[in-house]
Amino acid sequence: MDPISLLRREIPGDLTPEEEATLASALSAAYHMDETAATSRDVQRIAEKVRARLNALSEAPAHDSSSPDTP
Amino acid sequence: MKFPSTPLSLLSKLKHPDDSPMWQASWKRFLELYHEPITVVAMSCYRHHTGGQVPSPGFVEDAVANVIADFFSRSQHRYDPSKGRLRAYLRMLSNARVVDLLRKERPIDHRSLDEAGLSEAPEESDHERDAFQRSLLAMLIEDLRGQIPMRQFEIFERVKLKHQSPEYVAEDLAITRAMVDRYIYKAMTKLRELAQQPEYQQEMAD
Repeated sequence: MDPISLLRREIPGDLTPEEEATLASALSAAYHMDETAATSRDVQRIAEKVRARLNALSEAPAHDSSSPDTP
Repeated sequence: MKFPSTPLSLLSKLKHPDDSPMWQASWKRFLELYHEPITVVAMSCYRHHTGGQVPSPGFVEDAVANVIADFFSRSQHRYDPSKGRLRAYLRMLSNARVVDLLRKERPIDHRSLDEAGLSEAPEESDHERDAFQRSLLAMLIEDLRGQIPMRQFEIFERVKLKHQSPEYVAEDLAITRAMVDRYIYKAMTKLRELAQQPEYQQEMAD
């Protein structure tokens, strides 16, 4: 069961107890993923790298490639 | 600095970005919300382009950082929601940055990479789909926080997200159990309403 489609179901009363549990579990997992990320050392380390690259990109001359996201 | 706007409006705002300091600071929040699916895509792309090899943690961190930085960099072409899903854009960008790093990592045996296939990201896996789904649900929850009264969100958070018992929450807040149920019902109704917004509909579509 896909929790997103459960959330989008037009008549929520139609959810079975099993579907309710699936949705609650998915919401809780998403919430905890987000909570964990806020204090994660790994995420903080990546944030430092993002900051460094953003600084480097802002100092580099702008380029005008037509498809900069393609390798 | 606080995240400048709700995630829902972030998706809309990507269509009309500005250079305000708050917008520039929003990458940190975006990183928290999307680091997991980008990590999964980066690892999958690496395996795909190297015949199944596993990237080092440092390589994956660099790839995720480069994706986020490029996504928010003023010099890059911006994501345009009218041209497709955020998820598809992030997959494409992740593949491109992994390929960049692979070329740097192995300049000598560069030819061992399948140049013709480098622009193609691997097919989306269930693991990747689940990770994107978690990020999207986290965005919805963040949106909900800004859309309903603080007390209502607190009760929803404690019961539905932190799994505290409704009886305990009712007693702790000196309210009736029926009130707890009512607050949760209202919060879930709002959450479903938010999920029907076009920006989310596009991202959630199968």
